[in-house]
Amino acid sequence: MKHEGRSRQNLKVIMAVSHNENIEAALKSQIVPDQEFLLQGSVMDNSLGVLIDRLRGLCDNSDVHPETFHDHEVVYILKDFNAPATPGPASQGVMLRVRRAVDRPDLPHQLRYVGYPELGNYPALLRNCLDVPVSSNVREFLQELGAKLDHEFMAKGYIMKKGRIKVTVFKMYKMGPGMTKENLEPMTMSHLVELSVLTTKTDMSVADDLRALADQLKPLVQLERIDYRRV
Amino acid sequence: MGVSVLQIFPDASRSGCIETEKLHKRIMNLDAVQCGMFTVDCDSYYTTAQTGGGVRKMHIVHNTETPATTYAILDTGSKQVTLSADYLFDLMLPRLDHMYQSKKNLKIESKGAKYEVGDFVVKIGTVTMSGHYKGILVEVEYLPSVTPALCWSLMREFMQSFMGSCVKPTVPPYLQNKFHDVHTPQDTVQQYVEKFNEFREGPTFTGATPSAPSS
Repeated sequence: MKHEGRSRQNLKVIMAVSHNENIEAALKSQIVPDQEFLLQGSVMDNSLGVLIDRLRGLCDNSDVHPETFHDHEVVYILKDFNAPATPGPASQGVMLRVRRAVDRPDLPHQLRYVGYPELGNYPALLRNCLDVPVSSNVREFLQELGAKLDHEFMAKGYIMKKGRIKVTVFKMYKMGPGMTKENLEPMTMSHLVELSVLTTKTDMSVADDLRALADQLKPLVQLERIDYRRV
Repeated sequence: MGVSVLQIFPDASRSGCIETEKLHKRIMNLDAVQCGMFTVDCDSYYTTAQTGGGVRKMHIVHNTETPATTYAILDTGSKQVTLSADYLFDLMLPRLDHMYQSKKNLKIESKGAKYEVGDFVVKIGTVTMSGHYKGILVEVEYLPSVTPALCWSLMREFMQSFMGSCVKPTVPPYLQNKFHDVHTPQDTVQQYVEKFNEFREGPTFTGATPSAPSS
């Protein structure tokens, strides 16, 4: 009985690897896909058909029609709103984005953190990025957390993929009182084109594939690394 | 997923293993089958700045029963919001450290063996806070039902059969508030947070009732 007790104790020790140790180990060995390469551009609405045809030819599954999406994105800022404003990143707070698929209410909401672009000569814009699927009460949660709503919009368009690269072509719509799903007010006369890929700190090879795909879309779309701090 | 109830098992001797051994023996007498281990851990984060309405707390809970989920329970004092998120939520927390910082010395967990007794799952956990033994917490889950109102009396009877009089005949307040609702995994972790807070607040917790059942 004594022996049995001890072996149980040993088993406990072996199995007692806590969650935090796992995630810390994953972070240390840099296998968490928390880096995003991004290239952005835009196309006028009247050229959309040509671009979609071109992309269908370049991307995977060219035999089926590209998948559409209709997302609602709400952007919150989390910072100490009572603190006096001081220059520097500390007072800017953290931007947290909540996305939900309007056309697929069964899918979980997505909470997204996007960091500032990294400095350096990368083929595409590189930034820290975290996507976390969350339960549908996330907006209430963020408000109670102390975050304030900054802005929101609707995005409607097409999503395709080529290997690990995600290609989205979408139009942004304003949100406001009286806006319904059928009655949306577009922000611009053009569609936004984004090529992005999620990767780890140790695997940067995919950035060149991203650049190659972007080059194949010229001169239809000019895809560039856009640093919002310089806009 | 059924209905879960948590019960603090009084440990007057504060020895830990003697009492868990006692519970182990009793549960084995009920034809229980031991089926692995479990861990529920809880980290607590507090607001760094005094933003108007006092200190807000965020409890981050992991449960080995739902290994891909992180639960974030926000406690503003007047309101509780429980967010279920993917495990990657943990990586988000360092980004929030300008607002919320973890109190490392409050890290608390319940760890122990898991048993199956017919339709019941029993987890006998040893609670430790930053390495110090705090007490024994028993989780009892009744699998065939999801509504506390329909199975509470059965669960109470089962719990009394191996824990004795420390199981009160009245419904625990948490369950009472959601007596007719569908029980979810969030309800289980919220009960854990409630009990963990009791352990934290009572520095030398020896159990609610002095009349511990004799084995």
